[in-house]
Amino acid sequence: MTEDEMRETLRSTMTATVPPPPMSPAKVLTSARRARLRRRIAWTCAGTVTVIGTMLGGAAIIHAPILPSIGTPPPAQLAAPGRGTDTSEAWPTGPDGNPQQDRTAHAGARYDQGVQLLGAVLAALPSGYDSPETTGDNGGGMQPTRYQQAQFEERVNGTEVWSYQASIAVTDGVGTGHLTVEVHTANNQLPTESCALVGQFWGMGGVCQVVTVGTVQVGVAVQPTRDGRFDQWAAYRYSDGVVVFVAQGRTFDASRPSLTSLPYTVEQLASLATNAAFHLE
Amino acid sequence: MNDRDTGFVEYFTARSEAMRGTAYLLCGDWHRAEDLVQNAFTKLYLVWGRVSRHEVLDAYVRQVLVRLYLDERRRGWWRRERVTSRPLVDRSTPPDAPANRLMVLQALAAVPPRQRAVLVLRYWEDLSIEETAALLHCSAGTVKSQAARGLDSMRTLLMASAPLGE
Repeated sequence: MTEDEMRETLRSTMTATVPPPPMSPAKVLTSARRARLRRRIAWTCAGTVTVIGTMLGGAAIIHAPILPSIGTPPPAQLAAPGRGTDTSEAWPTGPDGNPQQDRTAHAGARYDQGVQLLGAVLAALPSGYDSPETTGDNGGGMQPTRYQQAQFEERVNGTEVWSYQASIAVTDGVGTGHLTVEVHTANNQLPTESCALVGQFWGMGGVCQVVTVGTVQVGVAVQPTRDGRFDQWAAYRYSDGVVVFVAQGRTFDASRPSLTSLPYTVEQLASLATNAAFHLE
Repeated sequence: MNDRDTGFVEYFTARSEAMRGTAYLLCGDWHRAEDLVQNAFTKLYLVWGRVSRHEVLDAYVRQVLVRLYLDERRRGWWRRERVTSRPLVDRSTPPDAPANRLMVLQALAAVPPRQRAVLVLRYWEDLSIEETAALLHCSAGTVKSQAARGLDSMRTLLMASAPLGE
């Protein structure tokens, strides 16, 4: 059986198949809302967590309520060691002393680092390119032309791992593409090998090329993927574990013409991934 | 209904049928297919707002769908549910359904899960080798070999069952 025959076989099979009535959006929405509610309840309940921890010489049971307290370290000791899941961990304490409502930091030092990253990305634009001022918003269906986010990822051995993302539209005056930098703080569980690291970015695959920048090696996905999110992206892991992804795409959205060429060459993109300004704690 | 829910429902209405078709080819049963789709969209709802572009949504849901399917297989759901060694056949199949269609579905159900996932993603969803590899977290070479083996299996199974279906 050839590939074309397989395609035709599946098409004709599905054409001859009578599907049941369409699924009910209301039912799925109800189920999804319940799932979200369950997760929120889990977060709330995590405010008082019983941790059975093995301590030196024996086991201890610790009841550790998460109390609002500005300036105190996050209750990392409450989390189970190792890679956590969404529902098993309390969100980090926000600047108001209360646990965050979700993964995203909306204020405070983490949020500020996201803003700092956005500034660093803008400052790194190559000559001849600019980033238009932001328009639109997340909820309106339009992609903002400048955007940053600081997001809690997980706790690993009691240490919080955060990611920071900055995305901007990039224009050469004619076409508009986009650039994204994503930083994962130390202790993240991302791969150490360059190309394996590249493959982890947004779950995208691609043809990987290892580029030497000074004395370090950077993985770069050089071949576009069909989903159109990015045309190329680079990944670099610092010796302290901080990971930086830098991604560029020719097309920002359907309302604007695309760039005819990418802002950075492969070598420049690799070099950009090692930009010290993107190294965040 | 707030904007979040409205957007989610609109997307579900637009894409759930296509996703259900993919799920059906993966699991061979409409009920399981609907469960997979519902679970995949529930996961999407939890991250709704962090993913907004349509093509990203499709890729996300497709990935969750396939992983749920493979996870179920790994957990042995099918071993518990299947009471015979025969491939899973759609119970909603009308009696007068074309024999060829039944043969194809039976053959597809007899292909190992990851090979079947590759076949469905490559030849039903029309994903590239690289996209399929990314979704399944494997190399392009693995996708190529799984696809080749899957096609071989389909050829063998269809040839073997052809006399019975006619």
